[in-house]
Amino acid sequence: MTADRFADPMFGTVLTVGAYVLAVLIRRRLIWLHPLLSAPLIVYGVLQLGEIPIADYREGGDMVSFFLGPATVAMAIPLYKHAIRLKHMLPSLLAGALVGSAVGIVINGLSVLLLGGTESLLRSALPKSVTTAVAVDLSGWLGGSPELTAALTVLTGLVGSVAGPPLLRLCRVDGVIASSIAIGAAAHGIGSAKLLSESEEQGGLSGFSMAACAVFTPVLLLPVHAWLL
Amino acid sequence: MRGLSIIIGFDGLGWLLHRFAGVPLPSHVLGLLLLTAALFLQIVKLEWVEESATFLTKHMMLFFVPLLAGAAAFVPVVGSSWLAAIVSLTAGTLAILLVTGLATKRLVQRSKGSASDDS
Repeated sequence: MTADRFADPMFGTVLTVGAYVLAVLIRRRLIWLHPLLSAPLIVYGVLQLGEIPIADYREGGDMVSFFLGPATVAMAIPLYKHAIRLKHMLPSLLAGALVGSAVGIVINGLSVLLLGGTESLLRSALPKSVTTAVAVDLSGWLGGSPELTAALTVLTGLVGSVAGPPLLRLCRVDGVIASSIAIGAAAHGIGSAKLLSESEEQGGLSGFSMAACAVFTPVLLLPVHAWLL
Repeated sequence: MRGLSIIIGFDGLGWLLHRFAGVPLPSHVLGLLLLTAALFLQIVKLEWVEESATFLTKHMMLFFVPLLAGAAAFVPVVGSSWLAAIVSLTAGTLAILLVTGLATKRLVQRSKGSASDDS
């Protein structure tokens, strides 16, 4: 098979959207299989089976991931809406999210440094608790690898959304407000999506926390950025 | 189209600030900050952008698929530091959950004083 017949933006775009739709359909049967795990595996499988170079896939794949930028900017809307609605306790919620962002950077950084992770892992792991689009953006900015950060971030979201609710209950953080803010700060969009499937209020609070952390984390990383460069 | 144009416009504005004005924050984050400010200052009305924003955030997972498909190539990079990667994934995430949850619980209780809707 001549591989270069796939070197067309149409191929990567259709493959990406097709894999995503398939992954969402699989999810209906296998509730534990997150689409962000299965969809990339489907794409990877097709590329391997067809012996198609990743560069050919990128022509269309890059067009799809372009929308990560606008999607990040679009988070301004839930941030604004929830800020208006939660006005009466906004300072507490913002302070909670700020604490979460700071702890995230410190623990993510320390665990890599103490366990002898490479510098590339450090630069890629620092932003992994923030929503994926921002994490990827921050990773490039810190000199990490955006692909590695994307993978770490998705795994972080899965760990946080699975372990979050039972851990918080165990430690008696049982109020809707505090637990939703915690899950938004630790497990970003994946955790928020899970809460949203349970209740609109929890999803909204968690989404607010995620968006607030998306703003705090880059600012907190400014000194780290200066130090790493 | 108006909503999408405004959002892409703010993304572009963030890019200009980062690239040409040297603002030391990632360009999309700058776009996010600028659009949030514009909403609060009522320069941009919520109803102009709400529908497009909901569409973009709802399908955000799709936009990550190409990046993650490329992530397989990075397995060797993690190779030597797999322990660090796993610990920061689990312990790091659990620590954020706990500290944020406990801090928020305290802060909300204190700011409220009298009991209301903290179920």
